Amino acid sequence: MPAQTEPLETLETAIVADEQGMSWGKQRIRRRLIVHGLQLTVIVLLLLGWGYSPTSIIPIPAVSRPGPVGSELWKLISSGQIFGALGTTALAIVEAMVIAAPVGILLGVIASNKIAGWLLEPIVTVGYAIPKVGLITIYIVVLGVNTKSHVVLVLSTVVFIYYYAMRQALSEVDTATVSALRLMGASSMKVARSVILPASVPPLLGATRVALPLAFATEIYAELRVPTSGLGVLLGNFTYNLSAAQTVAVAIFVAAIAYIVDIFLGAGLRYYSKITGMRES
Amino acid sequence: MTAMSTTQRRVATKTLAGVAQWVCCGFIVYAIWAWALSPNISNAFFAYPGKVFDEIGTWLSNGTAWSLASTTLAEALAGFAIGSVLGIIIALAIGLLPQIVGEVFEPFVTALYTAPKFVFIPLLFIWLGADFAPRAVLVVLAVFPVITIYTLVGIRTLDPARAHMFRLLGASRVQIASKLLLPHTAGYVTTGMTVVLPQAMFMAIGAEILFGTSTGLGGRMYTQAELFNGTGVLAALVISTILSGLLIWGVGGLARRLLKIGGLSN
Repeated sequence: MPAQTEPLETLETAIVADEQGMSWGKQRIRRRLIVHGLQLTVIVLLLLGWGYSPTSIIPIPAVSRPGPVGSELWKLISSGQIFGALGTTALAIVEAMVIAAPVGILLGVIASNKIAGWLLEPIVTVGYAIPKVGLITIYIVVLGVNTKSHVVLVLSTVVFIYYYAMRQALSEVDTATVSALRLMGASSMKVARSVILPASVPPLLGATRVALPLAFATEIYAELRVPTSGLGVLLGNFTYNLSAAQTVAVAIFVAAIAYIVDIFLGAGLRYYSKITGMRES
Repeated sequence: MTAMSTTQRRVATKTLAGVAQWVCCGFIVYAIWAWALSPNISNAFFAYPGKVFDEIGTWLSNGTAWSLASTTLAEALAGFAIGSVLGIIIALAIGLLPQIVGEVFEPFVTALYTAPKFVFIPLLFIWLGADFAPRAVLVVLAVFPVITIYTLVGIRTLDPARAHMFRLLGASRVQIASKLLLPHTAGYVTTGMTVVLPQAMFMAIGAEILFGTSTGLGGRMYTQAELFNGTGVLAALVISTILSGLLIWGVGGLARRLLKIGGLSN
């Protein structure tokens, strides 16, 4: 995904702020408060629309109303049931990512070799085009109805992201710097540590930001298809019982968790960029 | 007869090398599939390549393959078209209005992007049933935020100095939009569409599997799995893979060709 641009502070804004007797920082805080206030207003309007729309537009049996949904969400949170399910889902995702990242990176490094790349490229291209959602059936057969089939499904979805990120990182490595280091007698390990590794970190962090929501979605899908335990199973059970309020509550919780994780990853990426930017200057 | 030019010779060599590459890799995959994997797994669940291709041949001759593919493609393309149009409209609205509008609404688009879309399947199932509509809606939910974000990036990376120059030269807002904004943004929109199109296919197939339908390629995978027919599952999977590959290659190439024809490539 392309990086989203931050709003820029212009010279005009600084002049206006100065004329109004406000510091730059205060102007920024004021703007943030206005934006968050407007966002809260939009959320309240959406909730009011949801709550008071006629059933012909928003059917209660399908999505319930904000009150019951909020109440069910609170029950799930206070009882800890949803956190237990979240833990199971998160564990499967972490297991898959911990295996997928090194495998993808290793494949990317291997593919940088001419012959290996020549052989690997069509296989990876076809592998990427396979709809992974269809592979769950095969994984169930081979691995059984347990979390292993989930982990392998998430792994096979996410590994390509790290592969392509590593390929991109290696293609952007400054060959002049590598040549210079080799001429000065640097070993391959030294070149890898000094040039290749630092160049690889930003694309790999970016790949993690893309891979994590995808892993989350794939794990939810796997849990809906192969009910063992986790958030997907919770969702599936409430749907089976036609409990719209609980279903919507879990859906909102899942969406909120995914968004919060993305915010933290984005903040981490920006922090890393800031640090490396400071070192370079 | 004239001898081949250097360029023609280069193109021919490249094409031959490409074909050789794919044949080589196809043989490796066939070998792994036929000799390494299949003997170790029951034929009820995992079939030899020959059997799978026979099944595909049967489906092609009796029209099953076309019917399945057309259902899945219809869901994917309908959702893709609606999601793309919505995404471009919303992005233009956010991008061209005052900056504060974007700051307010972008987190909602990001939240929709990060949310696992399959989480909406139970809601859609209760609301719209298990037919074409909920599957297409799921694809729309997957496509819309991606196209919005790519379009917004295209709008925001437009060089303001060039826009000022256009205004100084007396260009109207329509002229700035058509001669500057559209060509610049079109590249980003095309990239977004190429990125999200395979996801549209995967969403359509995943929805068919989760809804437990018998229509479409996903529905065929689901029903064949329930019948413990590994041949059928793999046949549907191979057809889905070929379709996804063709979509990625075909639509991406078509989009680039259209941009070139329209003089919109950067």
